[in-house]
Amino acid sequence: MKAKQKNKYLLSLVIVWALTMSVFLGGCGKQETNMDPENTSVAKEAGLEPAVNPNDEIVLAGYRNIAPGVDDAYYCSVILYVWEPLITMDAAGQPAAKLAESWEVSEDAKTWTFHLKEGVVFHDGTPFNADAVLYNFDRMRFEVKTSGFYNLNIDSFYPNLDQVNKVDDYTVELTFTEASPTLLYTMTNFGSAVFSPNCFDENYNFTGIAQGTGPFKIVDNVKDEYVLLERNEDYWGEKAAAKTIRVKTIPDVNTRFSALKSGEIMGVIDLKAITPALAVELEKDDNFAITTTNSTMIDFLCMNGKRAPFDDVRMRQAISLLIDRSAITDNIYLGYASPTSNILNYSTPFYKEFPVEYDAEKAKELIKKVLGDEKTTLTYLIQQDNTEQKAEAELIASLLQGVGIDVTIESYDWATIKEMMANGDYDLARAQQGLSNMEAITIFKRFMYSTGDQNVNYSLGVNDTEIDSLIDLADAELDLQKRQDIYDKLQEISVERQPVLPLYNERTLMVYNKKLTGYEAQIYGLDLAKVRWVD
Amino acid sequence: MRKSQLIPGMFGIFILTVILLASILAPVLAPYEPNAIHMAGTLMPPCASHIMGTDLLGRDIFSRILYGGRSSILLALAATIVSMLAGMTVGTFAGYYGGVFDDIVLIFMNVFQGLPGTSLMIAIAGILGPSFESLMIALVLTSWTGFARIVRTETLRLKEENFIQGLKCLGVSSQGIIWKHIVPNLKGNTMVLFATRIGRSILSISGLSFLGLGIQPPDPDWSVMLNDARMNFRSAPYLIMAPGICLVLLLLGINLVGDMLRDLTDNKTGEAGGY
Amino acid sequence: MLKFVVKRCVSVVPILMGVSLLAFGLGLLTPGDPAAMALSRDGVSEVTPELLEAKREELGLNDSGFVQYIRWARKAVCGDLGRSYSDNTQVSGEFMRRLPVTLQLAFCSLFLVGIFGTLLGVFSAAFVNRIPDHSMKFFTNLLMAIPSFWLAILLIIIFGEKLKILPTNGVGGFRYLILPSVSLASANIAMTQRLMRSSMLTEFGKQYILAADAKGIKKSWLLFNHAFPNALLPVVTMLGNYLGGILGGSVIIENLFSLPGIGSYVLDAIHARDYPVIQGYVLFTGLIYTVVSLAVDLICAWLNPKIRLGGIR
Repeated sequence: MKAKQKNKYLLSLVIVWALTMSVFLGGCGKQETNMDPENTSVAKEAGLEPAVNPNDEIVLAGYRNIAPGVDDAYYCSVILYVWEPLITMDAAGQPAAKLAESWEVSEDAKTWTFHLKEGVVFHDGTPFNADAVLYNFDRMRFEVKTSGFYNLNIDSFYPNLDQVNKVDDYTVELTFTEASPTLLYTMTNFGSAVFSPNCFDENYNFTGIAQGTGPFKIVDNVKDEYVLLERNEDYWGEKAAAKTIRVKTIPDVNTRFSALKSGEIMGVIDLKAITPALAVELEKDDNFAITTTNSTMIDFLCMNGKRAPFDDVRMRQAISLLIDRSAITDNIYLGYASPTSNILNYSTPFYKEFPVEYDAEKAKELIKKVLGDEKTTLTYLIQQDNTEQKAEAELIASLLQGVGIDVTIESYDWATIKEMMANGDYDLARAQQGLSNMEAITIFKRFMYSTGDQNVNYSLGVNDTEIDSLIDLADAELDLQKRQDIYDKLQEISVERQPVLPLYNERTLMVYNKKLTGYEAQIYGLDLAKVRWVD
Repeated sequence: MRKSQLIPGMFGIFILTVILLASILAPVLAPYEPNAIHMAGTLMPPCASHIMGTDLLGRDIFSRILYGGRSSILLALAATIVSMLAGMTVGTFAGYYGGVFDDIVLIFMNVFQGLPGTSLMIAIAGILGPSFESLMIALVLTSWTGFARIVRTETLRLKEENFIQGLKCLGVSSQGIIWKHIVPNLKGNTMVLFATRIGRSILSISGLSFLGLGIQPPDPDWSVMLNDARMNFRSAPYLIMAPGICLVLLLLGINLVGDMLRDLTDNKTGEAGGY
Repeated sequence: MLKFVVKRCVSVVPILMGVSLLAFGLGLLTPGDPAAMALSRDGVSEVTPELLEAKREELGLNDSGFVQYIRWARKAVCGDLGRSYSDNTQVSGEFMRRLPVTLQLAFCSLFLVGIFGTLLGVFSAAFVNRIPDHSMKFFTNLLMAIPSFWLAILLIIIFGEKLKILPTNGVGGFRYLILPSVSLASANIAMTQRLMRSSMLTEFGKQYILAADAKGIKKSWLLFNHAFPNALLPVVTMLGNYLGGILGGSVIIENLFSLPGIGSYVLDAIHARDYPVIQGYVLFTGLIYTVVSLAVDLICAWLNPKIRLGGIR
């Protein structure tokens, strides 16, 4: 009797164990079977798709509050098409007309005249005219307004600005104390945002929802949850295709992936919309498509040039030669990034292509020359919660270990990393930089000029009279071709001396459900006004 | 107690033995160096040369699994032993001497138990930054009260027992009574609590590591592997299955052994708090 | 009864004071100078020694620790937990804004724990020491061994992505809470099951049940009408305790399911080294936990005639 009971008990144990294990293994077994398109289409049919109404709300998602609200200088990102700039940029990164229809520049490049589009009204009914533009310049002059996108700082968008004058109701004239031949490049998008003067308080802070001139207006905005856009029926140009678009905030990329899969959202937008691995995974599913284009973001390693070993240019060159950038872009970013050793991002028209050198042997020689047989340990800072950066860091660390350099990887949030870099308390740190405008000199000045802000903030230790004089020369140069020549020279220097160690140019990568159409990645975001349901 | 009731416990011991042996013998058993990167063979599904496949950097998952339990187990053991020693010391003294000291200890225990442990742990690890020490501090601060409480209660009870009273009359010193007669009597209860606490500590460590606040890369660790896999596990499910199952088995083993200890000591005070 | 209520309420005071001391103490542990951190956050302004001194004065960092604590505590009592370093918003305001999300999640989990934990416990007790009981014991051991985040990932894959029957992110009604609360509840269900089982068994061993059994009263009737309500009491007491675990666990779960509750708030704050928020979090969760435990205790006391009618333990 007892033995029988024992057997029974054992049997029940086995059954329970088998059952529970089959639940788990079943979970992963299912995954594989579901990968073939037939199964998913069955699931789709089972989901009972109703006929699409073109006026149905389209739900998209991004990783951050794409409309941070009244505390942000712009209230929302330019990619929501709520506000519009005077000057925008075309697909090639060249300045293009938006609210400014045309412009003239004086011989000495010190006076710019903009002719504004007529018959445009803000969402609140206020007419768009020279007064509105002047008001927005007053706002910029009042103080630097901080933003999660690009700080609204008049000195970076309009360096050496002297006066802003109203010539007539639709003409505005800007005068500068120095020649400003590349003004159009610095004032694109965020640089020339125009809001209705009625949405600010006496300190030029937003009092409520931003009122712009764009094809969409914001009707509801709940922080950390969503922003709801509605078509602006009185838009001056081609009206938006979709009636309402809701952009949710979903911070975690895996959750965005799941939400796409389950049909809760139809697409992802903004930077970091989706990781390459997840995008490729979604593409296997017939319901989704990838859209991609060059991005203005460049990813690089900062090296502390203020102390050994990276105060030695040979050491910087050595690490650059040691890293096989294409192994990183191919394996970790699955080809959605292009290797580069040039500090300038490839989407500006001033970009020059250089071959990316990879030569581990030469690298080892150089390191030997610098370090001799000395053992050294480097601190490598990466951003928290970033799987790709972590994988990259582990890869680079193992390469360095191969040449006798130990690496400790430490992860912090970006603010902390910046602090540590400013204090010179690091050796290597992973950073990114977007182009706030297409004028290449901004980047050269920030990273390579001896007093450049990023050069100082990141303790890069670049202090080169040749570079300084080249930048000064370019600044004074009115002829665009001659400027280009200087820019080429500067890029060459950056490739050779590696003030920072560029890894790759990013690609804008977005995924959308094929129930949508008109979903096309642009250098910055996507043309939201064209997105609509497939008929 | 019937023999059949020992089966789950034996099963637990078996699981734990396998896991511990694998962890200890990892340097011998692992076919590859756990951190060796091999970019030519990334995300390989399980095959003959890599029986559990490879990860995003081409590292052998099986080797990483073998090494992956070490940090958590060691850390959990160390933290639980320290908590137990601290809790027992405080608990016995408070219970034995009573008075103001006891009152103060009680207040402290109430404060620490009045806080949700996991929240406090996350806050401590978050503020001190991820490191071995901060994990230790977080774990010990949140688990010493459990030991102190049962030890104190037990000491209070023992103190009134006749044999202790008798020893006192015989002039045995308090120190002697505590070390020779009270502490040995606390064995049963603390052992059960120790098992529960180890399990809880491992759960906490794994949760923190998963959030990036615990064990740091490139140390191979199951939870870190799970976190690393979050980008690729859909196309490579083996990335989350192997470490996840190991973690579950480890905890299951500890729970089963804990159950057995509880049955053997016929313990009624085993706590059932929440994670 | 009144005496018990007063005694229990008074006992909360030193706990709350200790919690506040701990929360404040954590702030002192922070590496770096809070004034410098508050200033350098925006990345625009240059931090000059004068600015730094002014900020130190403003934050009261030049006073002694005790004075700082008193000031901090006094403000906290009035609901002012300071401002976040990263976006300069009122910490307490942000907590209140996010609290409903976390509470919904927590109560949804507690509901699942209560229902399934007790039912499965009764089930085990009814079949005590027989196969269903043994299997259940093993099953609960397994449930307790599954880390909530791993379960959550599996649930997201199965129910969100494969079967597409449940939403996996955000807020928006009951359906959105199912997966996160199941992930949070599973281990607690197992623990409640065990408690319920042993509590039922204790009831079975009591005189009145034995007597009733001897009288030939039907067993199932006994189970549900006498043993069950009495056995429920210790379980209800523990539910308050579980809330603590659920509040902590919600940090991971809110992160995985993109729920804008206080858990995801504190996680963001940790990544941003936003110390006032972390400090506030400790105080806030401590407060919730203490208050709920108090409420549960009082309810239990009221349910328990022994205490209600005077006999205080």
